Parts: sequence; structure tokens; C-alpha cells
Amino acid sequence: MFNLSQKGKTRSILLNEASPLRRLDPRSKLFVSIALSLAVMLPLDKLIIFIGVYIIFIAWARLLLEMARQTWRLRWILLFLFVIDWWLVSFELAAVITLRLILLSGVFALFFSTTSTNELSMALESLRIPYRFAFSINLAFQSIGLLQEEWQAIREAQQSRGILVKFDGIRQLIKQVNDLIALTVPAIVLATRRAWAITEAAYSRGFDSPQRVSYYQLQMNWIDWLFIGLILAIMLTFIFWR
Amino acid sequence: MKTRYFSTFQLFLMTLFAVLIVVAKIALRLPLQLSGHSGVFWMAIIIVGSRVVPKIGSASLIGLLSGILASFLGLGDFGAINTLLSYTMIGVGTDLALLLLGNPENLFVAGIAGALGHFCKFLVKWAFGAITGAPVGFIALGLAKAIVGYIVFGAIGGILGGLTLIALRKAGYFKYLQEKK
Repeated sequence: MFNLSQKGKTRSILLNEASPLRRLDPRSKLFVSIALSLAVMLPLDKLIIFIGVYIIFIAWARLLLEMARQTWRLRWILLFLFVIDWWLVSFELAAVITLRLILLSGVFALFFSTTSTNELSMALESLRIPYRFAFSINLAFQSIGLLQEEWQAIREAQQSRGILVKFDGIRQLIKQVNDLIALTVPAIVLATRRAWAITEAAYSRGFDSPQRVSYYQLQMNWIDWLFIGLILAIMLTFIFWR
Repeated sequence: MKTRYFSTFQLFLMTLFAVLIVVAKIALRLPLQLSGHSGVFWMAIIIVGSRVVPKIGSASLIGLLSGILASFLGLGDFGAINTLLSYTMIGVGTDLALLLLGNPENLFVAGIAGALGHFCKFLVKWAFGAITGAPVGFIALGLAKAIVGYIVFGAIGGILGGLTLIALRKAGYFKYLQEKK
């Protein structure tokens, strides 16, 4: 795990290990997230019932906190749209749009909160995405901590040389565009050197070898198929039920 | 040996540029209280990336990779899928703009490409609202102030990218890159 932070704002990748979805194959979780997002097409009466079922499912998956956090971040936009839609069109439209936005903004947390970056990489590979691209995604996650340290070092080095970039307003920002180059140029050069070192290391380990086989392989189990079948049945019921 | 569209070095380079975007986005929070201000460094890195790897699709790939990273880190207010699409569309928009406009080492071209690329992020937000059935006019009204921010900061970011490219050329960076291909 790593933290990227400044001024108390911290970002990190936190896997919800307690969720029963954690044990499922990432491909089945991706399919379920896409299938559930199709519920935005449902009319209000069906959508209300669907949201009820969805909340029960999320509570079972122990992801209620993640979903609540996501909805809380959207609160002002949801409130604005709800009030405007109710005022200018109808309560029904306001409710349906609010519910759809809540659903769409939270449904992919199912996947992202319960899938590790390694699993994502393997899932992409098994979905016929070239290995090089799947590896790049993994490499990106591994490099965040490293590049953050380098970025911080560049900032401190430039500050010690008297380049104090202050962001007090848009006019000052425009005046300081030239000073910002002092941050971007070393960052680009360091990233390039790092990329070259990784390329050499990758080639020395047979990165582009056509006979390369992954040490870990993903396997769809009966529980994955059962889960997909269940979600598919629920979605079809909601779509065709009159 | 099979020839590939992007060499391994270029692929890793774009990956690290994508990481730089996310790092800059989080580590450099400007106290400007204006929508889209993070686009300054974002667009600069995308513009530089599209020139350093001078192939169609390089900006899109940088955008996609940074979008995947940002989605896992929980960036953005509209959820993971909106974050992923927004970041990707910035790259796609920049690619299309540069395809039409040409070399981003021209500061005017870089500024326009930056503004257009960053504007695509706004389009995703707008489309996201439209998919849910919200009246398009209301969304546009709600995001009207944001549009100006996206365009202005995108243009500043583009110019910063152009200036960075000029500085890199003066420093001999592109000659160094030639040896590494």
C-alpha cells in the first residue's frame, strides 16, 4: 500500500479484504458491474425496487461504506440536480435521475474495491489484452510511490534554488508558467531514465519472449458461474418483468 | 522479430508519464478553488508525452493508463467509471487535436490542443449526466462555470507542455531519446 498526500489529503489503494466478492474471479466481478450498471435504463417503479435489492446485495458484499462514501462525495451535485429537476420538470424525473446517478457512480466500486492490481492485470491478459499492456498497468501501480518521491525531491530541490511556485490566483499562475517548467523538465527526464532502466531489466528477463507463461493463472470456478448466473437472472427479471 | 506499434521502451515511458499525471494531480493541489485547475500539469504531461512518443494513440494510451490508476485510487467525484472515461477522453481529445493541428512545440498549437483535450473531460461529465436522463440544458447550466475553467487551464497546461518540449529540445533530450529507441 502507498499513500500520496499533501495538506492532509491522502490517497491509497485499499482492498476490502472482508468482502465475499474478494474471493471471486475479477472477470466475473467486471461482468457483474457492467450488468448492474444497465439498471439505469429501468423506469422509476422498477428502479426503486432494484435499488432495494442492490442495497441488500451491497450490504452482503460488505461494501456499503464504500458506496456511502461515493454518494456523499456527490451530495451537492445530486441535491442541485434533484431540486432543479423537481422544480422545473417533475418529482418523478428528479427521483429517477438521482437514483440513476447514485447507482452509476457506485456500481464499479464493486470491482475496484475488491480487485488487486495484479488480478486486474491477469484479468486483462485473459481477456486477450496483449501482455505488454497488462504488464504496463501493473508497472504503473508499482511506480506510484517511486515517482511521488522523485516529484517531491524535484520540488524541494527547486525551492532550495529559489524557485518558489506560489499558486495564489490565476494571474499569478499565468506569470509563473516559466517557473513551472523547472518542475516538469526534471520530472520528464527522470521518468525517461527510469523507463529505460525498466526496459533493460525487462528484456534481460525475456519480457518479449513468445514462450512466456504466467506463473499465476486465473481460473473461473463454479461459484463465479453461479454468481454471474444469479446476477443475470436478476437483471433479466427486472428488464422483462411487467 | 515481430514489429510492434509501440516499442517496449515507448510503452514503459508512456506508463510512467501516466503515473506522473496522477502523482502531479494529487501532490500538487493548487488552492485556486476553480474547476479544472489540475489540468495545468495534466495537459502539460500529456502534450509532452504525445511528442516524445510521436505516434497516433500515444496521448490516448497515457490517458487510459492514468484513468485506470485514478479509478483505483478513488479520484473523481462521479465514481470509477466516470474517472476512467474522463482521463481516457482527455488523451483521445489531445490525440485528435494534435492530428489536426500538428507539432505541439508551437505554443499556439499546444495551447489549443491542451484546451480541446481538457474540454473532453467536461464532455464526459456532460454525457454522464445525459445518460442518466437529466435534461441536457440543466447539466450545461450547472457546468457552465466549469467549462471556462476547463478551457483556460487546459490551454495553460498545453502552453506549459509546449514550453517544456522546447526546454527539453534545448537540453538535448531528443538526441538522448534517439539513442534509446
